Amino acid sequence: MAGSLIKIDEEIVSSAVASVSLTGIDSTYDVYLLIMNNVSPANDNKDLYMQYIKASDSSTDSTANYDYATKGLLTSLSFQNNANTNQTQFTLQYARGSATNEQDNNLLYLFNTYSSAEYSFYTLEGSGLNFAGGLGSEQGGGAHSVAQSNSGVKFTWESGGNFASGTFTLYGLKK
Amino acid sequence: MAGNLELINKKTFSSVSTVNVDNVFSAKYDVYKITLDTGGQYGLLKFLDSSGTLTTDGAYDTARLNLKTNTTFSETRIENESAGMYAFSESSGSGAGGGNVLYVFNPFSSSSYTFVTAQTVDINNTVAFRIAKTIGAYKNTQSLRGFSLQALASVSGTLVTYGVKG
Repeated sequence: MAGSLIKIDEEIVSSAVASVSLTGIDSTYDVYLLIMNNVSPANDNKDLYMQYIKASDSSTDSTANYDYATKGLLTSLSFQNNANTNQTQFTLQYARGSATNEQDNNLLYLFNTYSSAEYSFYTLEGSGLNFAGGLGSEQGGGAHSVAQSNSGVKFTWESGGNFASGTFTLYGLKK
Repeated sequence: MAGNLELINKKTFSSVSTVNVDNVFSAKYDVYKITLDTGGQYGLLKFLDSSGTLTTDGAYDTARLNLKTNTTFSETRIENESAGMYAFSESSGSGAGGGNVLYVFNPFSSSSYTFVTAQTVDINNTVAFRIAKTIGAYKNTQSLRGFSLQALASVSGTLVTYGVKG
């Protein structure tokens, strides 16, 4: 029987890279699921960012139109509210660590990403250890307030740091 | 075209306090989706080690945001717990119901901790709904082959385990 979760793209970080891009988003699906597994930065205490890749020219959109709100769930501190508007990227996770076992795992649902008539939206569920070795991760979502067609997403770290590890898989949800 | 969400196990149970789902984690998948549709009193997730034995070490961390219809939202923050991870919903009272969706990362790996995200809803015996958003970690790098629902009292329902193919 045909399934409903269709793999579109995958990137596995096996050596240090500054960014990870997943592409192949088009009109075939309206909703995409992106799973990030065992993601870690090469340098300690870094925030994880995401931006859209424009379908028109495959460039990264760095305009200040990224809005997001998340709730940080942590075992070591009271939970935290994080929200920003008109940023040049989404901040998905804060203060990720580079030590052994300080890995980050995320599920993102991407909505209307390819549509040129609607804003692009995402929801986020994460689980991982932060740079202090404590359980902590953001839950929430965001919107890119530009009605433009995007064909992918790009992940980077704060201050231009490298990825040390991670498996990134993009799926389409069959209509 | 074949899909990438593959059914591994479906277990229906009735009037039990513990449900073990063994031999569902393997090297074939890194990420698993678990659904639980049930009523009764329950709450804890524990893992089964490579021999199918319940883990007993104090390696479970939980951070959970409790969204309640009848009172102020609250936080659950637990570290180094041996009883398990507070990942399932916690219905109370006869006839209470609930729904759970969990994702488990890296359970079979012997080089990574096991991480969990969970989103649950339940109703308690005062007819108040509770929605919970939970993250958890099992901070031990041992390979795990299954999991257990540790109910607080008799429980009936269905646990379904899927593998998310990479």
